[in-house]
Amino acid sequence: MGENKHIEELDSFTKKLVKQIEPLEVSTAFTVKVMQQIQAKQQAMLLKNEPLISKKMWFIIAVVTGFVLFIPYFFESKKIIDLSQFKFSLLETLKLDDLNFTIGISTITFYAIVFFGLMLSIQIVYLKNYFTKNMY
Amino acid sequence: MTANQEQIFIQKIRKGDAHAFTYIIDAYKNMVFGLAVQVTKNREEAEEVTQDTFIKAYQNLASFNGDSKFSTWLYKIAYRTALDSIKKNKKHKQTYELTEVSLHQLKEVEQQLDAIDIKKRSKMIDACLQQLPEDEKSIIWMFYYDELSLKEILEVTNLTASTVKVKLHRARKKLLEIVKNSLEPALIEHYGRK
Repeated sequence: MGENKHIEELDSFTKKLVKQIEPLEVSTAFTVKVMQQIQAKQQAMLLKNEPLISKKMWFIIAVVTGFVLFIPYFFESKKIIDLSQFKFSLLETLKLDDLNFTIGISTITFYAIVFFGLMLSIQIVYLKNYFTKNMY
Repeated sequence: MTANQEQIFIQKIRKGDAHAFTYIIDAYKNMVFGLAVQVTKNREEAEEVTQDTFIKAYQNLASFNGDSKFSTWLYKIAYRTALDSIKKNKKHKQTYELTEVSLHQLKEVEQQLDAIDIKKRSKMIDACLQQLPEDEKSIIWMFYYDELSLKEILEVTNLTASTVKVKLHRARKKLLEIVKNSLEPALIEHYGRK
């Protein structure tokens, strides 16, 4: 009983004691400082630039373009595929042994592909810069 | 700020109205600061902790699901941030030997305190509170000054109920002992001036 009374007295004493401490306050411009920091973090997130075409995509485009442009040079007469090199049983059955056609591209087509690739590369860079400048 | 008003502001913030967060800051800044001071023992550090608390609260507002009061959730962030801050600064922990103070001595201490000027008394009590270890001091502060329930304190500190009760009991006794020992010089100064 005595112990309980002591605890109760101690409890009310501590409450009375702590309540006498003057309220603590932050500095006057605190809210403004916090909002500035929040806005700065938000801006930093917005300005984080995602590239229009990622590096991986650029690599794939380069490989495909290279494949399209330079493969003809590995074949003397601009052959892409020479079916007569392959033995297909189905072809034998269909008597396609004598088949000897090649897929070739004309010079005009070749240059068209090259220029198309070039223009595409230039336009993508130009458009990317244009939109980046006009975003903010 | 009522709970309803708070909910309205939280909804606005979630929809992208950052300005609504200023109302939340204004409502709770001093409360958070008070706790931060108790843990860090340093006003400048406490203000940094308070700023970090609100920034974290803003960034993680989506995770507040209303299971507890918003103030309790905010307190939890403040308490953890303050503890991280003192761990970083590796503050020296003061230990205080506990001696029993009788009921009679308690009454004496109360009477002696009443004799001291209010402002001086407030500073003295604050200084005595600062001598407690951070965990006990913050529990005393949350329980008596901010009047958080035991359940809320458990949520903020992540301690068990028995640990909080033991710390609270020890802290009360220590505080009384510290105040008793601080009274003599304070009374000498008080009566000396008269």
